Amino acid sequence: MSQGKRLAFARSSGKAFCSVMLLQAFCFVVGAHARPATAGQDSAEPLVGEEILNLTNAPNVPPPISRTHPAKVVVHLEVTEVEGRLADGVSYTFWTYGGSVPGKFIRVREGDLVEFHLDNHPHNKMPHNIDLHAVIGPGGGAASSLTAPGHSSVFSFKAIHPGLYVYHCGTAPVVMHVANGMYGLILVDPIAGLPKVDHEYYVMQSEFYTKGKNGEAGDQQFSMEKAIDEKPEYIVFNGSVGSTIGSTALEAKAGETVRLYVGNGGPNLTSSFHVIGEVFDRVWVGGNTSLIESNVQTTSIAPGGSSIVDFTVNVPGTFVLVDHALSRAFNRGALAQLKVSGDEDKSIYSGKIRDEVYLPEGTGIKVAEVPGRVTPPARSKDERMQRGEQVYKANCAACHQSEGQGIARAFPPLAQSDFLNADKNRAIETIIGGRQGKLVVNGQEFDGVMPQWTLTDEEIANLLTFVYNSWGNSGKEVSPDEVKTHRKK
Amino acid sequence: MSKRTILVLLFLISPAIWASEAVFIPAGTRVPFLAGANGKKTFKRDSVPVKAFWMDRYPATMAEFAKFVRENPEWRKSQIKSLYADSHYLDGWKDDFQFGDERNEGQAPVTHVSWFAARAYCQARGKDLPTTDQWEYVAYDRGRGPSKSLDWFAQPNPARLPPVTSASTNGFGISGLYGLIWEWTLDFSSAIPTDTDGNDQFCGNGSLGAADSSDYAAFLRYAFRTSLKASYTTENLGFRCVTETRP
Repeated sequence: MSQGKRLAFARSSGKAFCSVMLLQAFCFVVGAHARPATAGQDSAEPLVGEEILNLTNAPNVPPPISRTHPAKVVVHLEVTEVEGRLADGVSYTFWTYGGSVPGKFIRVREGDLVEFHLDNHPHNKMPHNIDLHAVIGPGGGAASSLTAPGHSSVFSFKAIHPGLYVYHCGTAPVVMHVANGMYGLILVDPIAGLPKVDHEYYVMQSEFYTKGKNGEAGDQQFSMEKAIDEKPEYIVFNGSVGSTIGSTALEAKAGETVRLYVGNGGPNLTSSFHVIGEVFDRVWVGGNTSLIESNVQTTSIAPGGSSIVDFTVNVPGTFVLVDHALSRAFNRGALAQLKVSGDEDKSIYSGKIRDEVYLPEGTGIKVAEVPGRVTPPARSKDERMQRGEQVYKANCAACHQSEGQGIARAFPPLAQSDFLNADKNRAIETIIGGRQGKLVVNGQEFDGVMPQWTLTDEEIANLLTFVYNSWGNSGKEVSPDEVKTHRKK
Repeated sequence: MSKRTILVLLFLISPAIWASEAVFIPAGTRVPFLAGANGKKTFKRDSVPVKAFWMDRYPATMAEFAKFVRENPEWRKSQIKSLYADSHYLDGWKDDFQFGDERNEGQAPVTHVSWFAARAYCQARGKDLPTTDQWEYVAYDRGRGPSKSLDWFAQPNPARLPPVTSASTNGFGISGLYGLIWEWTLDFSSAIPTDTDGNDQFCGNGSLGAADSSDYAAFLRYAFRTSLKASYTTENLGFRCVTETRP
């Protein structure tokens, strides 16, 4: 409870004053044992000094506050209405706090007195205001900050509650102001500070409701109908599709710690924030600096809400930030990247060791003849050959090629094949059971996999007779009975 | 046709003449967009009568305003009292009479004018600013107009405003209510009502009491008016005049 409120209570009623004092005492006891740095406790601490804050554009975050005392801090935030890139070939007129979406990141310390200047650029068309969720007061400041183009509003507030808060425009129609990009984050550093990390980044999720469908080129305009239906065409991180991909990806080195200050500007959808290939060591749920969860895979971030997530990047690679409501990531743009450089640590992650074809029944297992499928017996070698050619074209030609020539280093040749001609039984077993591993055909080495083939005995007999009597091979004939004996092996 | 006739015709059809042309607006009714917009809080949404009046077909132009300040020195840029206009008054004018847009011969709408200056201009012509009810009545165009279009609102201001004659004309024969500039109304300051505690209606609260919560264009207009004080001037805020007596 603030000093001001205490005094007001004290003046109005002695009894109330006592109960307030009791509450204070209780808070003190709890605070002393559980949380040394509870909100509001130092609100009586005197302000020392005055400074103008430097604000940052996403993904950058101002450095942690090193001050050990509260101060008067001055924030200048300029609203501009600017045309910019929403996706490749797609432009949009954004309404911004500071020139881009999301708005500039504001960092103050618990107990600070913030003098806020909202400057509405003279070229703007619209009036704007600001509602900071860190502010205790009517409209979170919106009641005091409606500002016409070419004007500036000033108000001040005390940063009472530590945590990560969304700020946004609250001018009617608020959905349009927010959907056009008017939001950002303000961090109130707790007195004790947050644990030190190697990198701090600012990431904020946005929805854009365009008249044209996702990807439709040109200057896109706001669709009121889609906004009211809560059906955005774009859901993105840091203001545009691909804002944080490739050369603009977030960066870290293996072994470092990364903290993301994640906000959700909305206006409508809850984000299921996830980093593919990471587990959050710590999550300050809802941006609340005293509610910490460990070992979190996905954290829910409400529109108008936030989350602070910490993780260690143990191994190199590209780690993808997504809204795990996956259509948003896959189809609407909710993707960003964190690129981690450095040395592999095979004990944590091996990378791919090998790629094998999965043979559900195992290469050595032979299945019985396909039940229910009957191939009429061939009445002559010619008929066997003709039918065998059809089986070959349907099953074998894709790899071994139309003239049995095979493909160098990939699929062994069947034409004039020493391997084939050397052993008829091996050929039958290869078709029934598949084959894997090194073999040499006509002097060339192959190291591949042939899966087992589900053909009837008659079909295999036809096929092999065709192959043995084509392309300069040995002219052997294979009967269905021979095939059958290998099934039983 | 003689040269003189042609000259006379040219003179008659010149935009400067049109701009001061007043159009008769027949009487009708309108449903106020926001309940209690005139200070009373009500849950009953009655339509209110609008008496017949004459409205200027176009907003006031730069050339017309330059003529006005020649005749009324106290409204010149160099002489305006800070009580009546903020420091952006007639921004872009090179001096008291040169409006800096000679390319359009002053036919662009005048902006960067305060409510006081706009009203003085209308009064000097025996007219006044339209009430919000009058302005909105014409803007809704008996349901015909593009009154809900957000296209203009979704684009930044152009570097230079086009001539008033380039704007589209609605069913009443009034041009430029959409897609050109914002316009002052007489009672702009009561645009968005305050609740019983005197708080502005903002955020989600802003839709309370609205006749149509999906009419974002109306919200934008009402919010814009609410952000103003009578001395304010902005880059895209101009005005036009009305009169209830035949001009």
